[in-house]
Amino acid sequence: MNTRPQPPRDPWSWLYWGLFFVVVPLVALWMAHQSTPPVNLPVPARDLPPYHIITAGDLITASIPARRVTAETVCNAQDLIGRYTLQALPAEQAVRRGQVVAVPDPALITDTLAVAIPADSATILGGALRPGDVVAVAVVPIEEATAPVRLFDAVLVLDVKQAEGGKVVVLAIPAARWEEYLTKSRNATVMLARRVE
Amino acid sequence: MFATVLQELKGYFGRDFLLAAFLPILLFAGLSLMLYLEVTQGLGTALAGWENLPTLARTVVIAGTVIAVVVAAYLLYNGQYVIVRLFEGYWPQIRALLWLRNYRVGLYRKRWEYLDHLAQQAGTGTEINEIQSEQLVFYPPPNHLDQMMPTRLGNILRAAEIYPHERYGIDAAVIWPRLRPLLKPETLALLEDRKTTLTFMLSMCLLSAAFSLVWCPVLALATDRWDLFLLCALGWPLAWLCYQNAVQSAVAYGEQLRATFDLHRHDLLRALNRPIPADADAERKEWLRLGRFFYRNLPLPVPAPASPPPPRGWERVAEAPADYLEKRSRPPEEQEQR
Repeated sequence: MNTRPQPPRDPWSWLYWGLFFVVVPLVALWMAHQSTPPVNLPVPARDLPPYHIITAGDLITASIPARRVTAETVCNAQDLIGRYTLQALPAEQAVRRGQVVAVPDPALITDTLAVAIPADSATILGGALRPGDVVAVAVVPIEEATAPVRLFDAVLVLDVKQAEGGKVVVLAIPAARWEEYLTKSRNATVMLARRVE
Repeated sequence: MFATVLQELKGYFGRDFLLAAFLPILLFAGLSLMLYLEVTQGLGTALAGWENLPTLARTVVIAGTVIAVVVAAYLLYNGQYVIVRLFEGYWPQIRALLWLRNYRVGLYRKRWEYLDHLAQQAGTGTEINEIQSEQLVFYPPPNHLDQMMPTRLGNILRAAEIYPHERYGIDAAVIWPRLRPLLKPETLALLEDRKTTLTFMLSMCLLSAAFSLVWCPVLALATDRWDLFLLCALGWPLAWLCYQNAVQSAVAYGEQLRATFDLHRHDLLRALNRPIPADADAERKEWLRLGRFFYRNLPLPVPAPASPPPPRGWERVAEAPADYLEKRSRPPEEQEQR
């Protein structure tokens, strides 16, 4: 009987695919089930929107794997309460320091509206303006006949960010004076001034 | 902006640099950066931070990144020769690698013998042709089996290198640098195109494997992100896919190289002011002589003086009696019709 010879096998292929199909799933399983010492951290109990003042009711304590905790992670609830969020914070995820900002005076953010104004380098004080700063707001009408008006003595800067159309400063304008702000800032340039300390 | 940068790079470095080095480096550097940001601070946060960066800072970061990628790509581009040779099977003289090389050469030898056995056992001519054409493309010719390489890619390129010597006695390594400048731009472009595809695939193969080999242990030891670990491990099968593509590109490149020697070898003889040999034996001797001349500086025999060209209009004079005789041999009816 004429027997057909078998082609010589290349063990390299077996080694190559064995590494992929055996080692990779095993390591992935080990990673998924490994027992890393968890750390108890204050995390948002629900999704928090941007410019939200964090209260004790917004937080829960969750066990987070130690490997996910970095030097930037907020580990103490007191470092979160009373601060406001710069961006949306997902529920049950550790919070980093850069995601929250301290408020110098709670009155500056209570009953306010987040109002964005387009800004240039001069408005943001050449880049020196930061979230959490307190500024005075004045409006300078385009018509020269009308005198400039000082609108607010102290307004909280919620955020300074780069948007698609350019830089934007987000201010916490008192809700009660919103209409006044709209009226006086029409056909006028909004000027910001920070007290030098 | 990105398109402009690409055009500038293409204009300055060439298409092969862009494809074989810059794009693979850009892809894997981008993936590595995204992975690093995701692991350290989360991609979403990093993007939000990027949006808040001043324009000047963004410009500096982009310019720095582009420069870093171009430098890395240039290093990879300069190392292409070494990379191709590595995949061909020219490995460092380390005992373990020497053992591996010998083992794999033996394996390919056994495969060749297996195919030879199949060809002898084959029932039909078509089957024999198929097996033999596989042997010719993927392995060195039968009388050069001692030049077997330890990789599939190496054997394909070796077969293409041996072909001109096998057919015409041309030493490809010596003759190719002299033939290349004589090739027409379209011929050269076709050859470069095949070579670029080959080097692109090998670069992708190397970087995919390196990406997996670096990032998988890092993720396994420093994080618990098994989802990212699995994603990074996909570089392993991607490397295999790229190598298989490189093998196919090498087949196409080898074919093109063979065709170039077939079609353009006489151009070099003309450029060297050597006579075109009358038959295959004479041509083989001529190329062997040329090879020795270039490689060992052995003097070339002076070609016999060419016979003087026939006088102008000689062909017409010689054809006239033949035409007359042909007309005379036709039947009278046909002559009248004309």
